[in-house]
Amino acid sequence: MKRLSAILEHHSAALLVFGLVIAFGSTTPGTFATGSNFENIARQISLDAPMVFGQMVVLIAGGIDISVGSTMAMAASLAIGLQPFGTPVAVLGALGFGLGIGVLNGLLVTRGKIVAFVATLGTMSLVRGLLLTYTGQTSLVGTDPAFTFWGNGQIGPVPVSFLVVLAVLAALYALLGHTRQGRNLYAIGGNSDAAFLGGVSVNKGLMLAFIISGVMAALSGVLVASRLNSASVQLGADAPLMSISAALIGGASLFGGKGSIVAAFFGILALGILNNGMNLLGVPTYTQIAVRALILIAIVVIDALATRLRRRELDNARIIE
Amino acid sequence: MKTQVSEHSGRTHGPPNPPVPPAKSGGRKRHWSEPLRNNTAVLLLIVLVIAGSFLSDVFLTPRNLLNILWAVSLLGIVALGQTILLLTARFDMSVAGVVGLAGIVTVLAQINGFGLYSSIAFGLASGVLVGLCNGALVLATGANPFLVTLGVNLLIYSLALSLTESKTLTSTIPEFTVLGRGQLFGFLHYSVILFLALAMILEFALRRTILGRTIYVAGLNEVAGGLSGLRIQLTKMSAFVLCSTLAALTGIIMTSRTNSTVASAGFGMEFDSIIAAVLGGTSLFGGRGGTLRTIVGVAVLGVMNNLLVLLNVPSEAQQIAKGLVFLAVVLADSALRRS
Amino acid sequence: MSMKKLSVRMVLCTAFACLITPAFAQGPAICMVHNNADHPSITAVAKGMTDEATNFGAEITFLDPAFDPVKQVAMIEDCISRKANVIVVNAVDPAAVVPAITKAKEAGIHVIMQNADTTSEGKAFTEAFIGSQSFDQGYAVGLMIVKALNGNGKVAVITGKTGQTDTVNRTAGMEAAFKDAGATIELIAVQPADWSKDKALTVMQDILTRFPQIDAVFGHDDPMALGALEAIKAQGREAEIKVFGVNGNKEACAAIKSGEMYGTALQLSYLVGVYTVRAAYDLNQGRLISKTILAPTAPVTPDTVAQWESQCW
Repeated sequence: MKRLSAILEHHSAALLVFGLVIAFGSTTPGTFATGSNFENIARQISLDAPMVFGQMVVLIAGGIDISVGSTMAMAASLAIGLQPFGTPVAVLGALGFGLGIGVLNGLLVTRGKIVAFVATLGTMSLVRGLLLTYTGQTSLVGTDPAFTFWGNGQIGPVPVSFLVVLAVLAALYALLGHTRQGRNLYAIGGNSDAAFLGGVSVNKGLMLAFIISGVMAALSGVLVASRLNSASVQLGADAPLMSISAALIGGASLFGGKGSIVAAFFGILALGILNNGMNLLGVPTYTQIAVRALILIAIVVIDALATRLRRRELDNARIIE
Repeated sequence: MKTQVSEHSGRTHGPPNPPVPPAKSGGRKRHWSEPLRNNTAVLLLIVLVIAGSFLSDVFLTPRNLLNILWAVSLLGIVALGQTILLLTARFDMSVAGVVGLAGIVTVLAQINGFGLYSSIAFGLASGVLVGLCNGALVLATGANPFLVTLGVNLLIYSLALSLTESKTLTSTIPEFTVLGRGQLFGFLHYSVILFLALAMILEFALRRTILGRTIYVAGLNEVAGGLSGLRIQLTKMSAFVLCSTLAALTGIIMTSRTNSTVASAGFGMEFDSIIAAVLGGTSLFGGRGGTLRTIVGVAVLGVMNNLLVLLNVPSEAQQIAKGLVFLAVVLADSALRRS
Repeated sequence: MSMKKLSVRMVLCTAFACLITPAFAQGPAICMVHNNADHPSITAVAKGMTDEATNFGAEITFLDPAFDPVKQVAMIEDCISRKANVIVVNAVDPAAVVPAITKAKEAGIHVIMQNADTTSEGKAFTEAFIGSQSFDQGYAVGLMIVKALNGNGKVAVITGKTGQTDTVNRTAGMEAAFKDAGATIELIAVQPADWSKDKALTVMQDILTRFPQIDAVFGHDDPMALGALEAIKAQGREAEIKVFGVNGNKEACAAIKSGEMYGTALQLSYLVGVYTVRAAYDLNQGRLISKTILAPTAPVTPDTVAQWESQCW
């Protein structure tokens, strides 16, 4: 019993991925389980993955970032629009913009004492407006063919963007698991008052989390720009909900203090496989929406039940002691 | 503001608390600015109205003000339900879907030969049903309300799409449009009266009935509430049902106003209703706020939208303006609260 | 060809196809990637495709990226994985689809653009464009407005969602028509209502409050035009303001017939669907097809409504 709930709590996303692969592999012979399709999935999820990682970090620290979609779209537009100044400038400009939005969100939450949900909702609208103004509502097209390497190129069978994601994954894994700053984020999200009393700088930690989220959303934007070799205002409309869902499927909690980067990876992988598989099966649009909804509800409910089970076990253990 | 320390550590549900340092010990002195601190939205509304009257000569005409009320009354009714749910420290993202679904169910009932009142009853029933569904899923499992209702919203949307096959459905009963377009004394729309009356009735219920008080308790400290014998679960369930039913009512009025409906009719209302409630001063964390405040929050949004059109602000700048005003309000709110 | 004839043929063919389905087994596997399925126009296109598919033994998969360019690219790739014979794309963003359709071409799959084309660079990888473009619809409405106002007057525009291709192009097409006709028309207000009838109603109400004189209103689709019309009627200004839309919805055509609305640019969406399947079949048979197959954008006005009414959807 204890093992079951522990597995459900820590590996539910990985289990879901496993289940989906078996389900789609057996229902779509010759299309799903092929090397080229796995390449597709890898390429598709690597665009969203950095943003999901960023959302995961913020959620761990007890915050939430609704502005990721706008930031991603604006960063994509900058990565294309600033290309006349040289591609490195464009990419740095895009990432710098993400950093700036992260700082702004961080300041609003730590100094302005605004609830993260509300503060980032405001920045979302603000950035969306900047984006509409900057692009003049037309799609921007890239001028540097070499730039598309990051989104479309591959090394052997592995998409370059996927390698970028793995590198980011490793870096954030190290940060969260093996640095004091990273571990502090869990403490802050778990119980900010206790963390504060324990001498952890809550503000510094939250600031760090929002900066990571901003930069990661911008990185997603850069990868999207490179992949499409263009950018438009229509990017990232459902990014906030998608990134939050993926992070929660990856074991994060809206109450903070829970989750990991590896699990976030499995979360976005599960969503990616689900979308890909349903497209391959040719599931009708209305049904696709319903299936996505049912899976979301199921995951959330299972997560809640597993957490409850675990809490009961902890209580029992305490009583036995 | 309540001290957040004890609340935070003892709570099992609800969104994360804002990171606040532990509250200073000792009582707080009352200050002359206290009423303002609790009503930043009123302040902002006054500022907006004054600014509007300078910027546009048609703004401060009775007709324009009535227009604003008519325009926001629909969002307002959704926001009232959302406010009640927010008081219990939960919120409902499925209102967007319910607005669309209720209109569709009502029109489909009419197309299938049901009369005016029974078709409206069908529409309302669809809202009650969704509310029961939301409530059962969240309360029985302790699952996160944001995600559960988000999932339910998607589910309703796909249902609405398959019911309409992405088409616009048109009402078949001519009298149906009275609900959305009819006016009392030739100038006051029924939907405005309904919105204001509902806000007052709900405020009264919140302040003066056991159920109302229980809603606040449910949001503040449900463990203690449960121990003191209040029927917390039932209260929370009724909050979910009320929220969905009001969304359904909105969907029916909207359908009546435009005489037709589509699956995406309520898109954006889930966020806008939360924004309106929060602007009005209802806490995202439960236990603080009220439905009269929501009138102010809704009015702020309405005046802002109205001014953006009256001043012919380009659509890209509208987004920036909305973001800035929204941030300014919440910043001012939080600054005034702490001063 | 009249709709009736078309549907008679359709019914016959459907009955016929039921009897000898195996003979049609080599019909193309078509993968249709919409821009957003939740729109009556797309429903009409899809119906045209599904109906015509039975004539040609084609098998169609419909995918909906809901206006997300990244999702659309992913769906095109999934179509490649499915080994579709023909991929039909209604581009969310003309430039963003280029890398994906390049890949489809490399995989030996024919690409047809429908209703929203790709960039000139992307055209190298497509076989044909089929449909009517949002710029042309805006242009058609622009010409109707010029004619109705005798070349000068005050016009308000109620747009779709800010930044979407249809929104940008319909306004641009209208302005180009004004310019080409040498009209002195003043755009007094351009305000978004996000394709929502109810929002159009409230936005129009505010526009009416602001401007004592308005000669015409252009709603970027028929539901928004009808929403604006409700606001105008509520203020009793329907004699002063001529209302125009795009789509050719049944409700709009009826309003034009009764004289409440002044015009709409009819998209022959059903025919677009029919043409698409025929072109896909021909491509799959190795036949040459025309690079551009346009479904006409018909200007429906009180004068022409009798002629087009049967095509409204």
